[in-house]
Amino acid sequence: MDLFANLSLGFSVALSPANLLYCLVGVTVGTLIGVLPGIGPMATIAILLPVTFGLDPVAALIMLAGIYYGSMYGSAITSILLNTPGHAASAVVCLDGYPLARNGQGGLALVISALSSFVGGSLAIILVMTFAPMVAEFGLRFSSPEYFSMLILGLTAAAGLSQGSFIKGIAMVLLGLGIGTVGTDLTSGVQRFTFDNWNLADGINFVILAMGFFAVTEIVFNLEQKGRSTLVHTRFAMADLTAAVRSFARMWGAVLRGFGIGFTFGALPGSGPTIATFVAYSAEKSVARDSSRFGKGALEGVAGPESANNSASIAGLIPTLTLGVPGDAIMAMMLGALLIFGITPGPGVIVDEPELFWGLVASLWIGNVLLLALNIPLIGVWARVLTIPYKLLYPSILLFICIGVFSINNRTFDIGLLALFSVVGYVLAKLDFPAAPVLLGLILGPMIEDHLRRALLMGRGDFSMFFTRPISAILLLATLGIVIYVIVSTIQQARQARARDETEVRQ
Amino acid sequence: MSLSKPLLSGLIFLSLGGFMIAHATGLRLGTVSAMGPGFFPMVIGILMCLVSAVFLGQACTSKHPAVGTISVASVRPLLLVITALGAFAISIDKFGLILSTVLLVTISRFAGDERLGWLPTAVLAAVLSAFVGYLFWYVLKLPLQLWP
Repeated sequence: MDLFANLSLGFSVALSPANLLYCLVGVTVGTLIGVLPGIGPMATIAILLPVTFGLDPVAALIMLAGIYYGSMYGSAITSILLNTPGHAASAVVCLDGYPLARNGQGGLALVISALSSFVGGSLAIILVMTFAPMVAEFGLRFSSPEYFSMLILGLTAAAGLSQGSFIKGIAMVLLGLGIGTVGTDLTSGVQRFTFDNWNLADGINFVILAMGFFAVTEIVFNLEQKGRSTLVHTRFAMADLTAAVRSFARMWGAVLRGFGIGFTFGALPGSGPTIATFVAYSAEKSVARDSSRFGKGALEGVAGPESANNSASIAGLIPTLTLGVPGDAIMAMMLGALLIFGITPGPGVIVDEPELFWGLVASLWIGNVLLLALNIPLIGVWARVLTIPYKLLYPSILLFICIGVFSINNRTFDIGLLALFSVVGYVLAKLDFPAAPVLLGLILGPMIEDHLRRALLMGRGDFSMFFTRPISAILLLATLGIVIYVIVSTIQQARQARARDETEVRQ
Repeated sequence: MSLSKPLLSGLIFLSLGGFMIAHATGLRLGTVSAMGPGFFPMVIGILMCLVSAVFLGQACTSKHPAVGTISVASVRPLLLVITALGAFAISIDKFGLILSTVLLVTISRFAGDERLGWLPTAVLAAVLSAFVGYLFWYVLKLPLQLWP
């Protein structure tokens, strides 16, 4: 099958009325919940995941993808108008987006953000269509040792390249892997960590953990916060749109750079949109003739990172769908959802499930068009959603979280588990542990154990094959490279901090 | 010796690792070429202990401010949110969806500093229970009781 046959298959799947509707609903609801202050994309997807469990896999994945970029866009709105990023990847947009909004150019910033996301995303979709089948073909050469090394690389990168301390990221990955061993061991049928409670026999669903560690913890942190950022009131007229499009025409360089940076980081296992946006922002700053404008409302500071954000999100589908190794926690949730639907992501997905893969790719593009068509006229509405007082919102969100958790397995035990994870997530967040690696560990844990067991069975217990098989050796070398890089940069930072302390003491 | 962040982190992961190791020893470990059910948890438990050693080392070598005193006032949002979740979990089987929704909304009302007045709370509880009753019980037919 060539690309055009694949594309026509994809569009015939994505344009079927039902799937189009799921895409539209996903984008709209995703944006609506993503806009709510203090509810980031992670929490949004976790809250809405149970809704998709009743659908068939293709429709569910299309809706989930819609929810995903809808919530990313919603998070950008909150960042620009309220200066509170719902996700680390949106933190960069605050830097110039919020000053723009305070100068009365919030509408302009939002349109630029939407257009940049659209262009960056569309270009990334074209590359996904070309590269994903190639990566999948490459992935067919993978066997258990390669998968094991790849997963180790992914987890190490997730722990090392996220914000905060590397060792804390590793600790959280280990916690996730540990939680992943709860339940019936698939090979031996032995119950592990279940304590004779049959509610734990099937293992712990990652949605419950995500709701506890992300959604409930976020709510509690918001409730503790005293001072709230003030909302910048934004009016938007059609005349602003033409002005925005005109200034967007000057943003091409930033958008293209953002797209390139985003795609590169998104396609790499273990890194994701967050790093991509930071790199894109500093790239714009170094390219600009007058870098002092940044932080005060430079449009390139919105366009570049937003293009990178969406491009990286879409590129992240390549390792997630073709190798089964997600780049960040959101992609890990997509992967977890696929596993729930009985689809194991891997090199076979494109060949075995062409409707799923090409349908998803086509619907990504349709979803981005819908997002653009829906959101530019609705900017005023989203801005008004932001004015809903939090004291009205959080009881409602808690209720939907509870019912969502209940609906996964139709049992109340899971709500108790949710309460437990909320407390653990809260305590660890207070101790500055990052939450994303625990989710990656939980979702990937069973896969790692399985591949490790198979690899060691193949090699009759000999660990050397991880280093003698070339692909596996390269992946492990890359892992080592990340570890060394993180350790060296930590030591450098510590040395600089000490030097700073000493000069302060002398003064 | 007061509790600092690295010390507390170290103690948490040391006990988690110890727990994993203790449980894994009760399972069959198997051999390297034929991993038993206890093998992987044992490896994770050992790695957790190693990580906790790093935290404990950090706690010993440099000065970290102690974790501030934990008062009821400082953890009030957490306590009330957890109480609301727990109350919902316990009551939904016995009293049904409507009453547990009212309970959750009423308890979680106290969690924030800015509180909803009693009348808006009642309206919110009524609107939400009507909505979730319609959506989850009537339309989606979740196996839930509506009333006791």
